[in-house]
Amino acid sequence: MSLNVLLLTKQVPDFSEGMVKFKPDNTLDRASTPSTMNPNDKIAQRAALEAKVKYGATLRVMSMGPPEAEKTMREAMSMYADELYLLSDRLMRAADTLATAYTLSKAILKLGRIDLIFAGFKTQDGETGQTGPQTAWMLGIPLITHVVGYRLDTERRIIRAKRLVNGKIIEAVESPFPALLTIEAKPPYEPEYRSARERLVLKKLLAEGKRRASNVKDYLKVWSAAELDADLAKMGLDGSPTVVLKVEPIPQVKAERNCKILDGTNLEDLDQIARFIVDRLRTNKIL
Amino acid sequence: MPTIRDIWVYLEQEEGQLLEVSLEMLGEARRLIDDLNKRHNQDEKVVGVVLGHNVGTLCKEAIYHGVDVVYFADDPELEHFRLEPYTKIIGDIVRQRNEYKDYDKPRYFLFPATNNGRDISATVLAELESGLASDCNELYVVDGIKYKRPSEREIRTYGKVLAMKRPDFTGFEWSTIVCLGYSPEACSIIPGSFKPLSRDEARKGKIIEHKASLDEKYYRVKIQTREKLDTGIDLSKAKVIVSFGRGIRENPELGIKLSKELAQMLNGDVGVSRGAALAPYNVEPSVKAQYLTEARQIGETGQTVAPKLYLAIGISGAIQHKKGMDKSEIIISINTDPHAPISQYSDYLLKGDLFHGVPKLLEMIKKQKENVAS
Repeated sequence: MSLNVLLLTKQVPDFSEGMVKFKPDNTLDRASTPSTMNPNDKIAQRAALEAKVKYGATLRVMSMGPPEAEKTMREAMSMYADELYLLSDRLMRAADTLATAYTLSKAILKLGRIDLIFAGFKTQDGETGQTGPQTAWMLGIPLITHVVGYRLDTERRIIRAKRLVNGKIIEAVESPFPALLTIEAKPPYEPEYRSARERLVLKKLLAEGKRRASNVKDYLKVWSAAELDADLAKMGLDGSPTVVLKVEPIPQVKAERNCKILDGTNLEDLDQIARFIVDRLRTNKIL
Repeated sequence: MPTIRDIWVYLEQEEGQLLEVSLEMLGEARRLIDDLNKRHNQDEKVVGVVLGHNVGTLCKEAIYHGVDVVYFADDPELEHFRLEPYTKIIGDIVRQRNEYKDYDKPRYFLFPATNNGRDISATVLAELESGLASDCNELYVVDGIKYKRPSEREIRTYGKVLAMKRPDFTGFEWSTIVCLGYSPEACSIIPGSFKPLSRDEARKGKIIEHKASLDEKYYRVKIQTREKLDTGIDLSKAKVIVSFGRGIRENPELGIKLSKELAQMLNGDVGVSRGAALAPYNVEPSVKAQYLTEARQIGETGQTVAPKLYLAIGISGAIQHKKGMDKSEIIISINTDPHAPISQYSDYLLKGDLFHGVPKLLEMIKKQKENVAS
């Protein structure tokens, strides 16, 4: 029986060094900060692609966002996907996690049979880690979080996964299909490709993904709210219980210590600090 | 209109012990509800929920730490945290009515922002269909918030709203989240944000057992084995900590190497700022796994440390970082910007490029150590 997997992803502002822009009041200038595919989702895509390489799965990628999220769809395609789905509609805008999970769950039902859904641990912009688990709960399917590795029994339709519990326990679990997995990002999930055949398949898929990424529209379906069998009142701002009341810049810290500024290029100043450190640590019997 | 009252707290436990953050949440819940009761002349309670196996004694502990009413479900199947049955049971407890509970929905609901706590906060709020803010560290109640959803005709005014404040976007901003028109108003709480009440055996409370009988389908995810990892890095007892931040960006590999050498020379350990821990630096995977990791992160969402000596290498010093290290006895920073926030809480700041300053400092400390030894 065929295996259908789905990756959920989101386009987020790129907060990496040098990319992020600020307004004069020190809050983030989202409009001027370029967007990118959420970094944790790229990690989750490795796990989704693993199902394609090792078990011949069909790999779909789904995102909800503005039409510009096509950029993220292209990024996802450059790592390979069979089909791309973008949920895009004014009615879906400004959704919180509950409204997002609702919309995603309705779109997933429209896809037909999906065996495994992969999601990143959390997005770089909201950092809530809620959307994946809430989507699973709304679909009524098993949820396995913080996955660090997995194997499939496609005959019996069972997944055996290892997950990291509160960062200190590895738990081996077993679950029937369909299931939703959130993929651990710390340390980043890394599939193991032991055989030459697997590595060759992966190489071909990545090359094919790069090729497809230049014609991403050929593989992309855009769904509006009306195309989902869903209650429109549960989407977007209308369906979002939470509201951001205010955003403030991080306040400046008041001086608490009488800081002595020394010249880090001056050898005498450096020597003074070196003496101070060694004396201090000797007094405390650390050196 | 559904009837709404009380502040609920999910009390996470591990191996028969309530986590410290569970007690911290109880302390904050107590303060919030006492204040609300006084201001509105009402009598709402702090309600706790504990799930697990042999957790009966934990209910008493919860009472000693400020809970008024505590629900527990005890079952061998619940010994280890399992998302689906735990979520369903909490949903059932919230909805049921009994000799204590005669209302529809909790007013507020707090969860710990641990990995398990975040997961279950998400699924419980999906089950209860209400709003959730994650990773909060400050709470207060506000009245008179006006808001209109696009499909609503009129602006509505909301009272007794829980303002849930969180450091956002990797520490760039504070966001205050509210949940309007839905109950419970829920959030997860960063461990260490609040003070627990001191334990007091004179406190009285009500314990209610919930007999869970769940459909088999909630046990679809079966635990096969559990294995403890020993990768935890505990910096809380380190006497000397050398932390690096995004100042290493020009040569991350060298920046990490220098921090490591400095730490070794001073019999200390290495820490990292949140910014650097999350930065996509191109370094060797083994270095990345060992040093660019949240396991070494110092600050509000990482470890809180108080060494004798703290060296901040290329750390600008956002307030989140400060909260994790400002109890250090001596703080010395190296920064190109003498006005960086870190200067506000350093004893010394060496102004200059760390890639030049640290190697010189290493040399001189080495010389000093030899001098002293001879």
